[in-house]
Amino acid sequence: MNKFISVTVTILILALGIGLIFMPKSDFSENENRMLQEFPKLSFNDFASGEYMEDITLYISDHFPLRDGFVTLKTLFAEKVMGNKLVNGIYVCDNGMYIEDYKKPENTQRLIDTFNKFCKNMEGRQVDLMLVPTAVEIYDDKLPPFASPLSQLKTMDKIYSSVECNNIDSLYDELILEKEKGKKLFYGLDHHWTTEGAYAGYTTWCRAKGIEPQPESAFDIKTVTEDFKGTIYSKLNDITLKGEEIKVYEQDNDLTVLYDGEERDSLYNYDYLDKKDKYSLFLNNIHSLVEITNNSTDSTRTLAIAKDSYANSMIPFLVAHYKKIYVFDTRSYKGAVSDFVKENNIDDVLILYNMNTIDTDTGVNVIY
Amino acid sequence: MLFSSLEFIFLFLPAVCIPYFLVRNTKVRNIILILASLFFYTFGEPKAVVLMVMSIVLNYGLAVLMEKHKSAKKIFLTASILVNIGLLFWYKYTAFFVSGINTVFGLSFDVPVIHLPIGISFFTFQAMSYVIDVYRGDTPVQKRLSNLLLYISFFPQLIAGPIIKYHDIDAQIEQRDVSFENYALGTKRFLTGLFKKVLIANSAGALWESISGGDMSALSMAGAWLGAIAYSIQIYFDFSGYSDMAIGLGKIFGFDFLENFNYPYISGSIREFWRRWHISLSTWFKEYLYIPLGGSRRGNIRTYFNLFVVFLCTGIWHGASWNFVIWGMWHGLFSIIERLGFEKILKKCRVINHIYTLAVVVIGFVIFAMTDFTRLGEYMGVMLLNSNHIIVNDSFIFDLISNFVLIAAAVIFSMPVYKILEKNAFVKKAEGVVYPILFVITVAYLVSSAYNPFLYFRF
Repeated sequence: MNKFISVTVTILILALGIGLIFMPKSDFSENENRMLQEFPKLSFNDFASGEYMEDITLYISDHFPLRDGFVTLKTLFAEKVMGNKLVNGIYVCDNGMYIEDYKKPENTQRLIDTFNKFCKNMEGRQVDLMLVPTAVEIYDDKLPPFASPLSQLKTMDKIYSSVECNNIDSLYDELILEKEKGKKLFYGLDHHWTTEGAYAGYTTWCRAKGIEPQPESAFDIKTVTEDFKGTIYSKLNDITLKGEEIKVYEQDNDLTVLYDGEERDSLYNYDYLDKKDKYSLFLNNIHSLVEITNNSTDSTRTLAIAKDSYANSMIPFLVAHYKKIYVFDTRSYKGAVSDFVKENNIDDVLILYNMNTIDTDTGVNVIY
Repeated sequence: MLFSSLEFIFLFLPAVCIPYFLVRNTKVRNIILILASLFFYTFGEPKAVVLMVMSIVLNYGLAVLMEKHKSAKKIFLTASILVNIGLLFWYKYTAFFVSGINTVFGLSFDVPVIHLPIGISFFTFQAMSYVIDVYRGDTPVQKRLSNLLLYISFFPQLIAGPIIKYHDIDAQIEQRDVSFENYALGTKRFLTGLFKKVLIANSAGALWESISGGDMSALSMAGAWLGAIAYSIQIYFDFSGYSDMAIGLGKIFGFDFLENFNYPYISGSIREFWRRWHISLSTWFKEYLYIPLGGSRRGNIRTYFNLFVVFLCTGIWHGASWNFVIWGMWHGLFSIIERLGFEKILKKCRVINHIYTLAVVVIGFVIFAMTDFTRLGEYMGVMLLNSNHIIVNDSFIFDLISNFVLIAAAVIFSMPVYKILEKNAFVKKAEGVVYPILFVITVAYLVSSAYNPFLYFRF
C-alpha cells in the first residue's frame, strides 16, 4: 500500500508541477481584486537580499494550477470537516449566513482627533456624524452559539462621546427595528449594506435633521442583478455559493452628475453588472469628487459628504433634498474638504463611515 | 524554502528526484544531493551559504590535521570547537550578550543587529559531532571533502534537524540502499509529517495566536489553558512533523536517520519527557557535554551540577532570550527534583504522574512562547491564579467548539494509537485512499494560505 500511495502522490506532484510550469497565467485576480505577482527579474541585489526568492514564492502560489478550486476545497474542509466556525475572519452561521467578524480597533483615538479637527475647521458650521454598525452587530443573534465578537457599539460610543460633531447615533436602533420587520439590511456575501439598509440610514438621517423622509413608494424599486458575489464571497472563495440580488431605488430626477469632471446623467453605472464588483454600480465606483446637481428640485440647499462606500448606495435618497451634493473621496481628493465647504458656503456637512472598515480606512485619516 | 511549501514539493523535489533516480552511481548521486542542498540553502539564505561552506572546509581541514599530527590532536579539537561555538555565539548571541552586559553593569554599548543565518544551530552542532567523533577515534577521518559537505549540508536535516551525529551516518554516505521500497516508505513518512505540520500545527498555532494576542483583560482561566494547550500542540506537531518530513526525505534518498520524537506527551515524568522529545538534541548534549563533564560518575553534587549545565545549554540553544534560559532551568529543576526521589513516588501514581508531567510541560511552553515578560506575567496570572476572576466565558466555549475536531485529532495522534491501528489490514487499505486525499487537502491549505483577497483598497 505504501507503494500505491507513493505512486499516486508522485503522479499528483508531477501533474501539478507540470501544470504550474506550462499552464497559461493571468495577470489579475478578479476574485481577490488585485494584480497577481509577476515573474521577478533577476538582479544581483534582489538575489543577495533574498527578495528574488520571496517573489518567486509569491509567483508560484499566485499562479498555482486550479487555485480557486483548491481554495474552495480548503474552505469547505475547514467548515464541514474541521467544524471551524470562523473561517478567514468570517463567522459561519448555522442558518447558512456568513457574517464578517469585527477586528480589534487600533485607531479609535486617531479617528476622534481627526473628526474633532475637521469639525473645528468648519468654524461653527454643523457637521453630522453617522457611523454605521454592520451585520456582526445587527445580526448578532444569528452568529454561531457562544460567538462573542468585539462590540462595535463600544467603539461607536467612545467616538460619539468624545467628538464635537452632531452625532446621528440613533441608527443602531433604527436598523434593529427594520431588521425585526424582516428586512434584509446587509448583503450575505458582501460587507456592504443593502439598498434597504441604506434606506434605513436615510430615514434616520432625515429624522435627525427634522426632514420628512420620502416613503419607499416614491421610488421605482428594481432588481438589477441576482448574481452579486461580494467581498465575503471572495474571502471564502467557495464556488458552490450562489450569488444574491442587488436592488436599486430609482427616481425620476433631472440630474447632472460630474464624476471628476466627466458628465453623466445617472447615479448608477450599470456597466459594473458585467463585472465581479457589482456594488460599484452605485455612484459609478470611486471618484475623488462627485458633484451632483438636481435640476428638478426647488431646494437651494447644498451638502458635502466625506464618506466610504456605504454612502454610495445612500446618496440616491438624498438628492431630492438638495440642489447640489458634493461627494469627496478623501484618499484621492487633494485639498481640504473644510476649505471647500467654507469657500462654496455649503449648508450641510455629513461624515458617513461603516464600523467594519473605518479603523483601517486610509481615507478617513486625511479629512481636514 | 520550507518543506511545507509549494515550491519545495512541486518544483524542487521533482527536480532533485528525477536525476537522482536516473543515475545509478552513488558518487554522482552524492554530487546531485550536494548541489541540491547548496541550492536549497542559497534559496533561503543567499549570503550565509559562503559562511556554511567555509565552516565545513575548516572543520574538514582540522580533522585531517588531527589525523596527521596525533600528538597535537587536542589543539585541533579545541580550535574546531572554538570556531564552531564562536560562529554560533557571534551570529546568535552577540546582541543578547551585549544587552545583558548593559543591564548588569548599567552600561550602554550599542547592541549590534546581526542577522541569524537559518540552520546555524544545526550545522555547527553537526560539525562538532564530526570533529569530536574523529578525535575520540569513534570514526575514521573523512578523506573526501565532498562527503563531509554532504553530511553537514544535506538539505533534509539542514535547517531544522534532526541533528545527525556523524558516527550514525558516515557509512551511509558511500553505501546505502536506494530502492523503490525506501522511496515508498520515505514518501509516506514525508506525507505524515506534512499533514502534521499543515493540518494540525498551523491551525493550532492560529488558535494560540488569537488567544495570546487578544485582549488579555477579557481572557478566562480556561481560555488561557486552551491557548497553552494549543501552543503545545503547535510546537509538537510542527517540530515532530518537520522531523518526520526530514526522516522521510532521507529515506527517499536511501538514508536512515534516527528518530527524533517518541510520543513525548505520554511521558510519566520530565526525565522521561526528555528521552522522548527532540531526542537528537538531548543525546547530542548527553554524548558531547554531559558525559565529558563526568556525567553521573563523579558524585551527587557534580551530577546535579552537570544536569544543570545541560539544561541551561538546552534552553539557551533554542534562542537568545531570557525566556529560553528560564524554560531550560524550569525543566532542569523538575529533572533534579525527580532524580532526588520524586520519580519513585511518581511511578506509583499512574494517572497523576501524567497530569503532573503535562502540566509542567504545558506551563513550560508558555514560558517558551513569550519573550515579552510583561505579557508572560499577565498570561501566567490568568492561567495559574485566575487573576481576571473569569473561569469560563463565551469566547472560550466558542474556541473549544470551533476547534474541537482539531484538538481531538491532536490528542489522538499524540498517543501511539495509530501506531497500533496501522497494523490492521483494513486500516492499511484505507491508507491508500486517505493519504492521497489528505495530500490534496494539504495542498488546498497551502494554496489558501497565500490566497490573499485585497478587498478594500478601492473603498
